[in-house]
Order: sequence, then C-alpha cells, then structure tokens
Amino acid sequence: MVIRNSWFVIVLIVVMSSFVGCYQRTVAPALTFDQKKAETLDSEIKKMEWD
Amino acid sequence: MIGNSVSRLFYQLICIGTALLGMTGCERSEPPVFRFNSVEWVKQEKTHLAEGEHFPEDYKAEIGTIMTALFGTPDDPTFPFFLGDEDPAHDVISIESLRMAAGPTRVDKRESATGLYREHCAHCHGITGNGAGDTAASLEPYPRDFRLGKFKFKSTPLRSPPTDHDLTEILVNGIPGSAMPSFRTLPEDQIQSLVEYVKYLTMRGQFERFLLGELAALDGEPLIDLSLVDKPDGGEPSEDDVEEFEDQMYAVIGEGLQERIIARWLKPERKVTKIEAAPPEFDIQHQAHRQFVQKGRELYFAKGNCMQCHGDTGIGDGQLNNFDDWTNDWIKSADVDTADPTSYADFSAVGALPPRPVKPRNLTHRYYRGGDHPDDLYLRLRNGIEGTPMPASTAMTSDEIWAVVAYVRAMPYLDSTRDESEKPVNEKQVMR
Repeated sequence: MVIRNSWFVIVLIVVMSSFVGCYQRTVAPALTFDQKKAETLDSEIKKMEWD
Repeated sequence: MIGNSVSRLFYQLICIGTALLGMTGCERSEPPVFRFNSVEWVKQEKTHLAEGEHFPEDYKAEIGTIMTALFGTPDDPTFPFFLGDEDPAHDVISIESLRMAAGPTRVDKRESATGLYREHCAHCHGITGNGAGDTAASLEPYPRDFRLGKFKFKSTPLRSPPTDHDLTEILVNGIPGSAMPSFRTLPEDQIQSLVEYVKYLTMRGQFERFLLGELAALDGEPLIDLSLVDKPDGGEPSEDDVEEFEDQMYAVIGEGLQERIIARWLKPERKVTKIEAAPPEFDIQHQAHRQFVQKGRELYFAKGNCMQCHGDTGIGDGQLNNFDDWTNDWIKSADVDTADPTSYADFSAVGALPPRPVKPRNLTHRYYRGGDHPDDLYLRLRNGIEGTPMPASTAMTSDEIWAVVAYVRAMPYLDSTRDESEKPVNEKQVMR
C-alpha cells in the first residue's frame, strides 16, 4: 500500500514538475543568434560615428 | 516489525529522491537565455500578412544577433553607449549595476553580489522581463511585462518613463494587493542595481518590439545586411556597400534605438508632475472638511466620472470588461474573443497568458497599489495609471483633485459607500 501510494506521488510530482520546468522552454523559444555575426556587428557599431 | 519500518523508510527515501530528480530533471546545464518575443512575432504576422502566411524564420536569428550585439546575454549583459564615455545614457544605466543584478546568484552576496534579478525577480517576471516567469500564470494580476515600456505607478505623466525614484519606491514598498513584495531589507546599492536592470530589460524589450514592427516593410530583405561590409570572400567592401550599410545602421539602431527609446529614458525627472499643495480644508481637523469631502463626492459622480469604473459605492464594480494595454496589445490585433480560447490559440501556443479583465480598484478597502499617501492618490488622479483604463484627470483643478482624494480616503468610513453586510451587527450600539 505504501509502495503503491508512493509511486502515485512520484508520478504526480514528476509530471507536475516537468510541466512547470519545461513550460517556458517549450512554448517560448530561446533567442537564437550567431555569435560570430554578433561580434562583427558589435565591432561595426563601435566603428560608426554616432551623434 | 523493525525490518518492516526500515523497508518503509527505504521506500520513502527512494520516493523523495526520485521526486527530487524529477523536479531537477528538466533543468538544462546551459546558462539561461533571453526569450524571443514570439507573441509580438505572431501579432505582427496577423496584422500584416494574409491568413496562413509567415515571416521568414531567418528573421528570428537576425533579430537575435542584433539584440545580442547591443545588449549581450543574461549572464553577460552590455549596453550600447554610442557616444563612448560622453554618452548621456551613462546616467540611465551603468554596466557595474547590470553585472550586480545579472548572472547567476552568488552565495557570498554580502561581499560581492551578483544575480540579484535571478534571485528575487525572475521567478515572476522571467529572465527576459517578459512577465512570464514560472509562477506568472498563477498570479493575479500577472507580473509586469517590462518589454512594453509602460509602468503604472510613477510621478511622471502618461507616455513618460518612470524616474529611478519611482522604481525604487515600488521595490522598497512592494505593491499592496498584488504578489509584488517589499525588498526593503536589501542594501541601497542592490536596490539601485535592480532598478537599472529593470530599465535595461525594458529598453531591450522595447527595441526588440521595434525590430519586429519593421519586418512587414522589409519584404524579405535583412534588417542590417552584414555581408555588405563583412564579405564572405574576405574582400574589401565598395564605397556604395559601406554607405548602404551605414544607412541601415542609422535607420535601425540610430533612429530605432537611440532616438526612439534611449533618448526618452534620459532624465525623466524633468517631467515629474508637480503636486500642488492641498487646500486647508483637506485637513481632517478643519471645520469645512466634511463639505470638502461632499464636494469630492459630487466630482466623483459628475466631472470626474469615477463611478463609471469604480461603481456608485466605490467597490470597483462599474466596468468589468476592460483589459489593460499588455493584453490589449495582442488581443486587438487579431479580433480575439477573450471568452473563446480557440480564438487566441496561436498566441497561447507561443506563451501568451490567458486574457483577464482588469479590475477597477475597490476604494473601500483602504489599500491602493500605487501607495496610500495623499500625494500618491493625487498623482494617480492627475496622471492616470499608464497601461490601464484609468485616465489622467486633465480637466480638474488641483483643488478638485484634492477634493476627490479626500472623498476616496473617506470612502471606507462612509455609510453611503458601505455594503450592509460589511457593517458590524452592533454598529449602532457602538456608534452610540
């Protein structure tokens, strides 16, 4: 009985925590970027004359 | 018997251990990243493209590259000081403050704190400041999405950014009636670093929205074509290419970021609304105070039109179908029926939280989100509340505003504004 209840709790916690933990990562994609291009653009921005 | 207890304990330990593994199993080892503003992406597609059409996916990576070049990453934030050491934006943001607030949380925070935002704010406001942290969906109201660039409780007029003092007050006092707690116990320098980090996330988010707003007009062309100056074959760019590249840089970064966004954040103190002195009868001890409250009541129902939203008795039941700007921003773009989740499924799929109507404040409860000092109430009336249906009372004189403030402050104690069920059963005996 203890084992059966414990497994229920495990499954419940794993499912709920997976939902909470993964929600942001699945529905809101990370900002992807090209590091080399970002560095090139950064150096071009610094070269420009802003006023 | 003992063996049975030991095996029970053993199984319980296994259960706890497995549960803990389950809870941590989804965490990735890579550092946290800023999230792409997919809701704005979908909004722009629905606004400018035909049904079923989409922007080229390449734009996501290009926007990411531009954003990273200008603002860095959550672990290594930076800020574009275009004019070097002379840039006035140094008054708005300092890299030292950003580094204190950004990055992973450090244990020795008294010695050299870092990761303050991730420690105190990110679980609600999200690493990106998109108001979509892990706890956001369960909070009422939703945590603030900084990327829209709007702040409710401030001393500056509508469409003006808040001052550092305004943001500090919110961090120090919290927001009563919401999940925003007080961070009064944090040292001053840590509060200041969080204030600057919030401004950083706001400007970053505003610029990302600006870039997404430009996509429809580009017709598939890049925002900034780096290949004009960074030739794949390593060759020298022509003068025309350099000129074209510089034009793109000035249009996107110069006008879009420097002029439209950063310039607006310079010295917001200049725009702070002056609080006129309250007339003598505002004082509760003054013999004409009762009449002054009555004048406020008349304004509440007539010139101020406050009862339209806050209701006749001030319990906030006048208008219950309005949405704030953070929700209106996307629901109005696609004729969303807020009662029908299938009508906004495309937005929900990319992380938009379900629309909830904004509730007018119940003025009989004696707490006010933007502060309960008379000056706070004066500012809420004079300037309105940005991002909500609460308008600025530009037509009222300062004395009239003070009269409404007096009436609002008296509301919790007036018979006419109290529900019968809220009165103690022995009130008459008590009053006697």
